[in-house]
Amino acid sequence: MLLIPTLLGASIIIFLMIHFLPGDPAQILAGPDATLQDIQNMRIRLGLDKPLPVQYFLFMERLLTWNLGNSLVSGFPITSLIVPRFLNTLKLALLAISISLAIGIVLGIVAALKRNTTADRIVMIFALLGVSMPVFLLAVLLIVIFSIKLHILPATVIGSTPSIRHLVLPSLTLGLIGAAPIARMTRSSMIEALSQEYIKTSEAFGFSIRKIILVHALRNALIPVVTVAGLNFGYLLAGAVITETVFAYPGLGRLIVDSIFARDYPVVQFGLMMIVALFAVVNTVVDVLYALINPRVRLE
Amino acid sequence: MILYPNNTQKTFNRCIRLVRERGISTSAIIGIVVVILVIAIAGAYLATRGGGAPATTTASPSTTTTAPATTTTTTTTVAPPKGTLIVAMGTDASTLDPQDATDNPSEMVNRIIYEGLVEFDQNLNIKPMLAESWDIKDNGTTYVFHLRKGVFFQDGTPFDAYAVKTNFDRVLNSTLKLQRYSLYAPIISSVEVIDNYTVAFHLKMPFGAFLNDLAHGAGLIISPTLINSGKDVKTNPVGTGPYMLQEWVKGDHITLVANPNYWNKTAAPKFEKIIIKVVADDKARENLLKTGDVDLVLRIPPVDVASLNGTGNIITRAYPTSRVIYIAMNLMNQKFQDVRVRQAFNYAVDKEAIINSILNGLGKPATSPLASSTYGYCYAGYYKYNVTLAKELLKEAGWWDRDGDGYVENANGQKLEVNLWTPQGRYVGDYQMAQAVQSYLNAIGVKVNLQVWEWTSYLNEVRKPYNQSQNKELFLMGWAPSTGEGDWVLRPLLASWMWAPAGSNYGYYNNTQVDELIQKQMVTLGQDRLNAMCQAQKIVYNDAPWIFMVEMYDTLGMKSNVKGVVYLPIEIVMLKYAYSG
Repeated sequence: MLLIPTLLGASIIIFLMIHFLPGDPAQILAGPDATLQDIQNMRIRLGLDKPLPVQYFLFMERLLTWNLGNSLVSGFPITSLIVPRFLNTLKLALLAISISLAIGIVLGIVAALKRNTTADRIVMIFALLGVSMPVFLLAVLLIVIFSIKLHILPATVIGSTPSIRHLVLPSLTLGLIGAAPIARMTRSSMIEALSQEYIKTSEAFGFSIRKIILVHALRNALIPVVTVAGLNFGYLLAGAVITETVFAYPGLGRLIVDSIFARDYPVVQFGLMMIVALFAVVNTVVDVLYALINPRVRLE
Repeated sequence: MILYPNNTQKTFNRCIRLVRERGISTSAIIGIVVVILVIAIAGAYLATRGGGAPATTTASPSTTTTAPATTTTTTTTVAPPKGTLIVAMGTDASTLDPQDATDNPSEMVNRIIYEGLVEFDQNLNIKPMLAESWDIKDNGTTYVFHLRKGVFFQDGTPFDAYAVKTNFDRVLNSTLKLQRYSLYAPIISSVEVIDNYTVAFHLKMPFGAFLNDLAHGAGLIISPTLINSGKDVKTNPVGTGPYMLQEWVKGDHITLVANPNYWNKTAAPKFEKIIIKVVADDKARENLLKTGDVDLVLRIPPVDVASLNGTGNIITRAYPTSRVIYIAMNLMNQKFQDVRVRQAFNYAVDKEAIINSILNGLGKPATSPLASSTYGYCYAGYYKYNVTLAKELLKEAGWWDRDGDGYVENANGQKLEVNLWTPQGRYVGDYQMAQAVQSYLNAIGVKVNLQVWEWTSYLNEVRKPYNQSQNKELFLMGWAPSTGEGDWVLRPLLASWMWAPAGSNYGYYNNTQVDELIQKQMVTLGQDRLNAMCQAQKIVYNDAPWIFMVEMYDTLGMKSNVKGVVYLPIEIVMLKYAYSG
């Protein structure tokens, strides 16, 4: 039950960091023509004239009662800003992680079984490319190919909420990049698993090769893969800001970055708290998955 | 496995052999991957052809088909609005309450939904809008407006003199703390309804820029029904304009729909919808124009303006704006006391080279604190690039290279070393311009320490009072008067009572003669006012409180069939007249 202290600590760090950033939201909101009086009025209107500890307790109170209030900058209710953005991010993250897992695991197995052959090298070159290629480069490449040259997929979401068609390019970008470390991890842990004694035993029992590879070897090889994938998924949920920016995708990451630049304190605070909570949940789920995949791992 | 290394290798080899013997070939596995990928892409594409497609394809039929040729006939029938105009801009609007808005994106959207008594044309001349005509009385302290009849707000409320009064009573109500209170409160004393369609503004003093203040985005008229309902104006805007708000997804897009009851049949809305999409990244916006996802894109990077023009069906345009980029000097600092030093800095910088290499020719050297498109501008002088003259001026002021190290020193052997601050990405090419200035000043023996700031922190720092600004020496700023005239440059930037933090005189410029001329131009009209402004510009230019840099241009990219987009030099794109042709 480390969850509660983690969240509490995170809330204090988040609150202090955003408030200690130089710059004053009242000043930005009041605009370039503002007089001193305008700025002071704005500060009172935003509740920024109160002492910091009071502001922190108000923040915690609003968080615990899920009464988040309004954005300082736009005045929109914060739930209406964060929740749709979060759902968009969730869709993107789920699709991207599925692509990563499908491609990464299959390629990893191929490379492990065909160790030191041409197939292995091709897979490893792909993985190296994926690990070292900046995400915006791949994103722009995909836009140039599929949107500008071929005109078959949109490069952004316009108007309505994103449909699968809008999700293809951004999720492919994130999915391909994320597949690379998974492929490398699967390859090395598969090689390790295939070298184990029980593989010989399984073979002696006369199990089919498919069963040996996919059930006995893979299952044991999956633990480190799940760790990598879990971390990756956590980052995806925190918002893939660069990908969102290139595709002008309305996700959580962009909202938070925009809000930081505008010093929109409550949006940043609640947005980051949401991400911290999700990250903690994903980590817990990964722990549970360990036990499911490998019953020798016990949950204490 | 670590315990039995030999066995390990054997087991592994046996496993590999098994794979080969029982026939799972490499090609089969690679084939599976390829099939999964193809199915995933094709599946996603096909599955959404039904649902997702309309959202992005409605634009193309609308913009490629022309409206029926009813406009050429003399009948009063009007072509029904058709299709969608999709616009991409860098920043979302912050509020759709014109009296509370201070940013350009908000004003751009507000100018589609609302209309004012008067409006700017593309040269910033004042033209009638909801007022058909006006008389100026009592030595310029009373303006009487004769209002247009038969105009209705989008909620059905008729537009009349009471609506005007309700609006200005609201913005002048100090308890509401609206952002544009400070624009009108020093000028307007009261608004009087004379009859249903005649309204008088009584001013506290004659004020030369009053009509500009009404054409300003804050002078847009809100439905009195909305004001009296107590609903939040910023998210429920109701005006008299040709398009109404349908949906605002904060940070992503704003959808406007045609107002079917718009009063002006000759300027009726041509599109069914206008969608304004927020795309923060310059390159991403440009890409969306290339993919055809959007019809009009704000602010194309200058370097791409020429190459993009004419590729496919894309055209680009550059427009002079009223924004002047300047590098202010902290005049409370000992180093900038001598006017010869300040002028030397001006002569040392090659404005033309900066414009050509950094802005790709999209700019003009500044020849006054005002841009040439701003009302009241007059040519005040030009510090043409001249290194020799710059060095001479420094020498006269006691700064020359006494020890041969390449930097100038004064009699005490002190080097002339200055800090130069700049934001990055706030104005087109801001950081690159500061870098250029750094090397130009280096060339006359001034050591420059360049520091880049994040915008919000920067604003906080430059706005501090002089006794907290010891490290502020040279700093890059840009200013575009939202009223389109010179008072709103000279007064906030150069009047001594506008020293930061009270106003935007961040360099603490103080010249009693200029102060007097600023006060004079506020209360005079016509040629007298222009003369006062012109004199002030010339004095300021010779005093050289800034390094006068460039008048900026702004850029648009659009599909060639998008017509009727009007660009105002106050950096506002008027979208309400746009049509497809």
